[in-house]
Amino acid sequence: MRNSHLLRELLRTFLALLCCVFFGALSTLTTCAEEPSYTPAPAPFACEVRYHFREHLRHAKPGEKTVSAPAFKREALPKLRVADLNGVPERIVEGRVEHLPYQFLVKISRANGGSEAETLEVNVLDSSDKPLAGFPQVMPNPLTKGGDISRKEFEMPIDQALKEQIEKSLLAKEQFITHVDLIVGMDDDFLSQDFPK
Amino acid sequence: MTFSAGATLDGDGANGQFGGPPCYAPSTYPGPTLDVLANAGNPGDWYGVVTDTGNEDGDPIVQNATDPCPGAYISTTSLNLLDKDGNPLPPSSPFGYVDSATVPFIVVPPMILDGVEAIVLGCRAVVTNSRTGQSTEAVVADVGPSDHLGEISVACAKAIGVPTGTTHPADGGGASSPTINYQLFPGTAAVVNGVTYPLQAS
Repeated sequence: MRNSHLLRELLRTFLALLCCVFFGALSTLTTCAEEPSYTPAPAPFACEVRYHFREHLRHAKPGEKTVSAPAFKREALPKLRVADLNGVPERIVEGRVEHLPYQFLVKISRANGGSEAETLEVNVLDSSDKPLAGFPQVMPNPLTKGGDISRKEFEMPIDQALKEQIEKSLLAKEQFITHVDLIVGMDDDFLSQDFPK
Repeated sequence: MTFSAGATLDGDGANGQFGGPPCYAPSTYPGPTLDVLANAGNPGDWYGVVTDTGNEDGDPIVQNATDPCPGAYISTTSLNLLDKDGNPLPPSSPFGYVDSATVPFIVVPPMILDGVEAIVLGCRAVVTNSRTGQSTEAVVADVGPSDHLGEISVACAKAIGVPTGTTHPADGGGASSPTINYQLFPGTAAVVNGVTYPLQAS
């Protein structure tokens, strides 16, 4: 008698547990089905302007290289922000740097409500809000955080007067600007704390 | 001598010597180049490539069909290489310079050449990326601006995991953080990829 009572109790407990598991799973499935699809924001990126230059090596002997290897000075664009476009997050960097009279807008987004592949959009406007020659540029986002392509460069035109102004304010004696470009990157080094964006 | 710094990238010296891309070529050149042509100069002011007159106002020499990279310009390093008999190669030889595309090398400012008693150009160097733990043997092959420390060839960047640019590897790449450790052995000739480099007094 005692054994059959014990068996009944065990069976009751087991059925109760089974019900809990069943309704719990059903509830989870229902919640999942009702949740709207979630579009993750594109990976973080940063932007900087590079002022490439060389230096005349005045002490070079005849037959030796008379200019230095190229190097660059850099200025970071403002920090990245996340915007919401109809429920689809996009990442945007916009603003200015100290030594150029340009306005920058760099955006990584997904078209058609987030269903399509990421697009990288880069625009550079002059002081009268007109795009510089060669801009805007829109392309499938080539950047990946840990892949082969983690940076993309965009050369910007600068006239002689601006070149001389940059040389005067940014470079040392005997150094001269060769070109200026905008770099968009998303690898760890580019996003590092050592050069906060 | 050791120091830690970031790393900018130097594409100079790449002339297709070992099958890699050249550093500079005319805009009509069909293949990739390591750097933006503006870093070599403009008509009448060619500071980054060898010209027919040897002066910046000459015309750039274009490699011909018997050269390693026909159609490309000839880019130079401060370290000049020698022929089999130990004589200097002519300035117009694409083989007279250290190939950034395939040879790990480093660049130092003039103060290091002037301030160290033993010969630095051509000496052995070991470059380590503390972020990735990767390390490579290298040669000191070029001279950089006087206020800039930390510069490496494109091949060196690839060997130690430093990012390179997309369109032009030398242009957009580099390490911003001072995570690159440079170890120099002045007076000791570098041996890289089985090639012994000449020590060159400055």
